[in-house]
Amino acid sequence: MILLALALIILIPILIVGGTIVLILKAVGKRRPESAETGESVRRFFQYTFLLGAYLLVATGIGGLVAEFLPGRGSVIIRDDTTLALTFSFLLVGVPVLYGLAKWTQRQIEQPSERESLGWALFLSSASIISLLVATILGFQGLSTAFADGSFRVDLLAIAMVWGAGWFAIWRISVRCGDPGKMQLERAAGSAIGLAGMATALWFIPSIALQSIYDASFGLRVADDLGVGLWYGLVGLVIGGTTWWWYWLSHTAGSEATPVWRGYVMLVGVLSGLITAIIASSTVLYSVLQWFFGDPKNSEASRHFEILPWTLPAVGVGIGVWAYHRAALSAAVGTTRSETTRTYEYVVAVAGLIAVAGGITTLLVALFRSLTSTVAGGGSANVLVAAITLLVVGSPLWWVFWSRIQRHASTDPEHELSSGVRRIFLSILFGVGGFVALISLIVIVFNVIEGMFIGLVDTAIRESTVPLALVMTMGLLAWYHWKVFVSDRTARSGWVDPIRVRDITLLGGDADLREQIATNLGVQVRSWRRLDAPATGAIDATTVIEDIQALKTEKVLVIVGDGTLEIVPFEDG
Amino acid sequence: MGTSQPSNRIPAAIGVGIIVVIVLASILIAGRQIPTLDPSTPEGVAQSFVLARFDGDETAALDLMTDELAEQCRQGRGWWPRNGGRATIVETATTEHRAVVTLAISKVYGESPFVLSESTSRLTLVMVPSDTGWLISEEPSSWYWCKEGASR
Repeated sequence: MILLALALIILIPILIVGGTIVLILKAVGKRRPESAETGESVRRFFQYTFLLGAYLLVATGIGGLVAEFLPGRGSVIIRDDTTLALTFSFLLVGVPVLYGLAKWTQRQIEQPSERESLGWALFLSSASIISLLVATILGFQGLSTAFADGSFRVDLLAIAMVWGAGWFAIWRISVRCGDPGKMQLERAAGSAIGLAGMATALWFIPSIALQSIYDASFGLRVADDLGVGLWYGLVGLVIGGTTWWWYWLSHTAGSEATPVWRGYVMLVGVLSGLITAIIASSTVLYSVLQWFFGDPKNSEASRHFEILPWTLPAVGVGIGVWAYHRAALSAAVGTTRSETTRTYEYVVAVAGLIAVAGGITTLLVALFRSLTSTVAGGGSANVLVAAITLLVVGSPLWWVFWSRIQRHASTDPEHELSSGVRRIFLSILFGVGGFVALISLIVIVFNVIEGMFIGLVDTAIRESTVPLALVMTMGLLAWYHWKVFVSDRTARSGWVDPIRVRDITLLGGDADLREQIATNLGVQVRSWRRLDAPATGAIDATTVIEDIQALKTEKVLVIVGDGTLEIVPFEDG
Repeated sequence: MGTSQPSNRIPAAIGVGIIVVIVLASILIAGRQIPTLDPSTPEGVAQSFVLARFDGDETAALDLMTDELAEQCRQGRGWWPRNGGRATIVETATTEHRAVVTLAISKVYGESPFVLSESTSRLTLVMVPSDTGWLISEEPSSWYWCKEGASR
């Protein structure tokens, strides 16, 4: 069973990585069909896919073997010969393949171009993250069952240790031979895994404690599993916390705020915390309003509110995760309004807007339901309560951030209305709103036509309340954001669009210089390594950026030589 | 340089609209009077039957059935949601000797407003005329109350 789970864990990332590489190869092939790079990319694709496969086979094989023959596993009544044969097969095939490929790769990564290649970085990242996931999941299972109910699963712990050792080896290699820029995604993924484990434990521990107190207070307890639950929570906290500390606090938090770094903080930190807080606080508020104004799910208050011990800690954890990452973002990007701060504000506004849109839709459904004739029961009160809950939670969040954004649009329109982030968000909101409205309209038309055919038009209309509410809400949402989009475009059309640099090619120079130019100017920088005159002296990035900004041209070539710097404006000819 | 953003007036109007709809929906839901249908009609029997089951009044529900069906259902061990349901009449077909009333029974589920969902099922009641009015003569569709062996 464990081997099956491992096989699935292994197979899925291989398919994802393989698919990604194929897509990249296609893109590279389209861009430079005659280039020798394409051949190198194909070689790397096969080399690193096989290397990853061989690594996973060997790690799985060693884990299986250790677990099978480890002393203290308990008396084995029936040995699973099939599993054992599979384990030996993995090792007999995997070890020589891994050895051969590793030696070949070891020679190749002596070349800087190989160390900086995407294939090598993808191999290191995939091997590291898969190993980390297997080690932490099995480690959690092994340790939690050992502490919680005394059933010491030595086989799980042994496999976890094997994968942990594999992860450590990959980590060491990535530190010594990996491209730090390309390994950022792996650091972000590790941080996300650690954060997920730690946050789950931080929610689970107080929840199970509160549940125990709640049950005891209201006489609901039938069996006390507090001790068992706390052990699960503590083991999860130690494993998740250690992973988060290693990946995030030790190796990512203090590093430069690159696009990957900011993407992680924004999406994994801010957005996940915010969504958790919104959903949990909505659930708390809904159960309170339902008790007083709706149809409670149970006439006994203790039964109705039994969800609170689990939702209240989720509110705290969500707000904590959000606040921490918000602070980290502020510390990294400063107080100056940049695309990063804009992205943050638009993301939060959209999160609030989703709740508001859900609230309006639910409110309209409640209204439509109250207008239709029934012969028994109500049931609309809970729908109305749900709508009010969503509006109460979402409206302030949306309003605070959207009005702040619109203030900037009024006071500093040149920067705000030209922002790519603003254009993308408005386009997405208009597009998604319009799309959902269109689909809902199709559903309504279908219901009505079908109702006409079978002679039940009244029923068809009654069953179209949800799509009708969606058409109205999403249509309104799309219309409003379209108005803002058009207003922005009209304002922008009155300006003389300053010529600014959009395309930078860097010949020579290091990854740090490339990153600083790209971050400060907000453009993609193509980088080429010089073979004739490698740069040795440090280049002042600030000077380069200022010189580029002074140019009134769209395309710039930056040539970094041995202590020399040349900035050449050019255009297509 | 300032621009005239349309944002402030429109959200304010939407906000006012939302408040109006909330007030309207609250008044309609709170003041809602479900009409009592004539119990001598098939629709009236259907209403009485569903109300009895919503209230958990099995005796009242069995009284609306023919003797044969009521006896069968007394032996059965099914269940029926007692609250939160909502019944609407979808269709009624009446002849001299038989009436078929189809109802839609809806129930709202969910602990969180984000995952609120509604399930709707059809309930078909077949009735025959009797001295006292219409009586349910066949086991209701989508109904496991009268099934032998079903757990209540």
